[in-house]
Amino acid sequence: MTLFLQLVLSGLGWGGIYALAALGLTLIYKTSNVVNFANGALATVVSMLVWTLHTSVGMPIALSWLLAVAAGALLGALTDVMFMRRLRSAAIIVSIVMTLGLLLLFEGLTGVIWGFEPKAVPLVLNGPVITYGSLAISRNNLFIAGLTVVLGLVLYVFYEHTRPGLAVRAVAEDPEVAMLMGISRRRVVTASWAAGVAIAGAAATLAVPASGGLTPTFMESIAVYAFAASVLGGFGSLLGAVVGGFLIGIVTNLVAGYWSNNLQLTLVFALIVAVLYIRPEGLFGRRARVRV
Amino acid sequence: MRPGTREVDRLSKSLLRRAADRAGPGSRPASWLAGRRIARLGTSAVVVIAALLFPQFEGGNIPVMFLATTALTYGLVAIALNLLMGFGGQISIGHGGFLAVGAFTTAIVATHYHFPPIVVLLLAGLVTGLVGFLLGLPAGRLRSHYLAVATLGFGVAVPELALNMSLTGGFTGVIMPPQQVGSIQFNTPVPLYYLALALVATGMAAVISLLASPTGRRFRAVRDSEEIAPALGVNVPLVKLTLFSLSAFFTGLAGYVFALNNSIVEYSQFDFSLSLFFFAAVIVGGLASTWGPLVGAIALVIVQQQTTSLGGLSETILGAAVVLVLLVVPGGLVALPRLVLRLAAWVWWMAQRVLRRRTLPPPQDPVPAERAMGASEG
Amino acid sequence: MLTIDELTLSFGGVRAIDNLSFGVEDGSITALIGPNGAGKTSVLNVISRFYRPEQGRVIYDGVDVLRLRARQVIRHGITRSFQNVALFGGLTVLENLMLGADYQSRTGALLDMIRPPAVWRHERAGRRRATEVLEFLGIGGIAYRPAEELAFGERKLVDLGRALVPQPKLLLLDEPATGLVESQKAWLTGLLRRIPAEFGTTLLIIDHDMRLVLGVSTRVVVMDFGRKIADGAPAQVRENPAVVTAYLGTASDDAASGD
Repeated sequence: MTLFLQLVLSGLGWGGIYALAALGLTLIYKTSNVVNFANGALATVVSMLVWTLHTSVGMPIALSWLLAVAAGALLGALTDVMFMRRLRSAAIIVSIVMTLGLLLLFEGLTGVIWGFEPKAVPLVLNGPVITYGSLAISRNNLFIAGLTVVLGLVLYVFYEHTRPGLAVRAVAEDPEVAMLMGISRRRVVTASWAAGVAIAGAAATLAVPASGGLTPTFMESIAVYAFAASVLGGFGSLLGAVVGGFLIGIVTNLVAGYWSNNLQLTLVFALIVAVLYIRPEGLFGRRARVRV
Repeated sequence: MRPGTREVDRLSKSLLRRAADRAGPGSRPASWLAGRRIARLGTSAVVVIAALLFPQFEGGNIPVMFLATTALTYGLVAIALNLLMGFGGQISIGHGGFLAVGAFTTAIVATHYHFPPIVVLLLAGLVTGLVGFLLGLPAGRLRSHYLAVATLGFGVAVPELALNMSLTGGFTGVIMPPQQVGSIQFNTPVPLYYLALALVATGMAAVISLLASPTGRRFRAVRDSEEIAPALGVNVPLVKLTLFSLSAFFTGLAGYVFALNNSIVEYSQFDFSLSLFFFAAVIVGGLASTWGPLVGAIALVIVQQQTTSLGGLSETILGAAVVLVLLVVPGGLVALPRLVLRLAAWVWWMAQRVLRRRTLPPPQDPVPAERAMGASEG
Repeated sequence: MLTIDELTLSFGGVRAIDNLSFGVEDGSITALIGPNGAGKTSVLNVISRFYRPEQGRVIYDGVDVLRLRARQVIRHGITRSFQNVALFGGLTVLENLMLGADYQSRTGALLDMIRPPAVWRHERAGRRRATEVLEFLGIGGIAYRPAEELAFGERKLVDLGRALVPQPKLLLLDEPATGLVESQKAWLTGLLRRIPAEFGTTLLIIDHDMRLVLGVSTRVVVMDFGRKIADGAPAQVRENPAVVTAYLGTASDDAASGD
């Protein structure tokens, strides 16, 4: 039993990261109906900026974080305006292809600019491990999990109980009617992209220490888990992203602990296929209806 | 001629239904501007002859032959992927996984059994085709981004499995034994090149043949309007299964060449970047065109080879190419000649206007103008 | 003979079709009309098996249509056109029509790749048949244009052509005249009248345009709110007070009707 609980606790760290990454994806998906396959690459740029500001320029870590995440928001907004906006009227598949192109582009640029040497980013919270009886969790992991929950709550409050949040939900629900009500769809979508990349950037930077170093492609494997989290939770659902992320983190850790660490990606793939087969809309998503 | 938003919209809208569909046999009248047809056949003939004669010049140069065979191998995968994406409308960012299955099947079978090469080749195709069939079962119910995520998962799961199974040699992989038919050693550069060429030709012929048949029309019906297709008697789930199976089969054949070309098959050769490469090759070359996938693969292989010095540069170029294709030239590389001719026609018209100060009728709707100019590949 | 018997279909709380019963005689041109939202397209969608009704029966030539899958409907001689003119954009006009005959092809993907004589024969026959229909419709010239490039009127005709190619026994037409200008409508009316005589096909037409419908049909069924409110010869139906009320105007009031 203790082993089980410990594995669950340890899974919260990665679970939080997957949840944050999935949140980033969800914010973008909600308003533009696009799964941003480039989100991981864009997030990596943010992490690289944190490293540059902190290690090369010498800024304090907190300031580096702040500036980098803000830059990430700007990057997300620019990506939408420059690349995604023109494709709005075309089929969704075109936007998906564009995000895949952007994935290549940004991964490549990151490699060209920063090189492939793994870089280090300090933990947010150092210090002794927190123990409770025979269970232990690192401060950093606890912070990540906590941050995820808090952020999830903040977003929830924003969406459900504020006017701008209402505007976003309106655009997500029915863009044309929202426009008729005077809501600027463009601004909402661009803002969603900004927020989505910013949050993903935070997730990526938090993931660096446990990933063995910051490289241009280190988010690739994390991205798979993030997608799985979105699939499990349901693509348009914030709650789904958080719950899905934590579930994936915990389940993969349980499997690693009880059985083997080796077939994680295969397990995730099987999970994705199973969920899509049994309940394509995920735990909290909504079923799409096709009209003839 | 600067594409405005509306033109971009219009062009992008046809991304999945390229005008080059019309390039299939049986969909054009023979009488129709014979001049243009001759130009296209002529170009094709030149290309084929060049491809056949290539080893005469470079046959001794091992790195070049390796590159050429790699280009052909990836070209075959791109043709298979184009069948699935361009003509079937099913997205896949996991085709590296299929190549892995084909290559590993080849190496394992060749190591443990002494079958004739043709049998090993067919087994590679069939086993991969079966895997494609199995993936197609759940995948057939998925659309757009769900399908993309599922194929992405497939593409990363396969190499991981390969790493963890002793059958596939774990970390070190499987060494590919020689393959010999009579006195022809397929593990030497020149015969292998011709084998790859033959397979590419077979793949292209198969696709062209399919397009001008009921199956080909059914594929594209599912791509264009999946909801309506049943009203024409189309069995949509069966079509999708067929698409995945066929696409996987041809990729499996490519796996055979891959195994011989690299002499060893191991898990790290098949990462996500490889699947992205195939995807980019199809898009950049020209989605749903006959020659696009091959042109795209060759172009991108050359780009990759020339940029190995600077890490990340090849990816940047690939990504930029995909983005450019989507925004500016949706027809891909094969549509460039036509675009250039349109530009030339427009410049010519502008020049006429300026020089003669006479208002000539503007270039017609692009279609007639480019026909008159005898444009090339489609 | 098509028999609709006590058909009921709901979406959520809304009764799209409410205990509907009527019959369509072979060789007739039967119109199914009614105000917007009356449930007409839903009836077609049930017959073509895109929707599953809660209750009721649909029998055609002794076959229980509701037991068929959507893709089997064409094999029983029933084809349709679509309100939204759903052509296959990436295919040429000719290929769109050839699809109409492809359901008969017994060769699978493998044989199609290898192209044995059977495939060549099928292609030749299919092309011939498709060209025939195109000529009948007067649009032979656009055979090689990609469907997505066509103008609206041309699309409607291709949609119709595609449904005619398999020589259906029953042809369901969903708003064939909507979006056409007067002259086109007149021409279409003439065309439709010829179909049962020349092809032996029964027509079931849905449309708003009362004048067109009354001009071409031999029998009219009127729906409102999912229910049948009238059923008979065009002249009778036109005078029927319930029908008049449903439309808030009479059939002779051209400006108000349809369009």
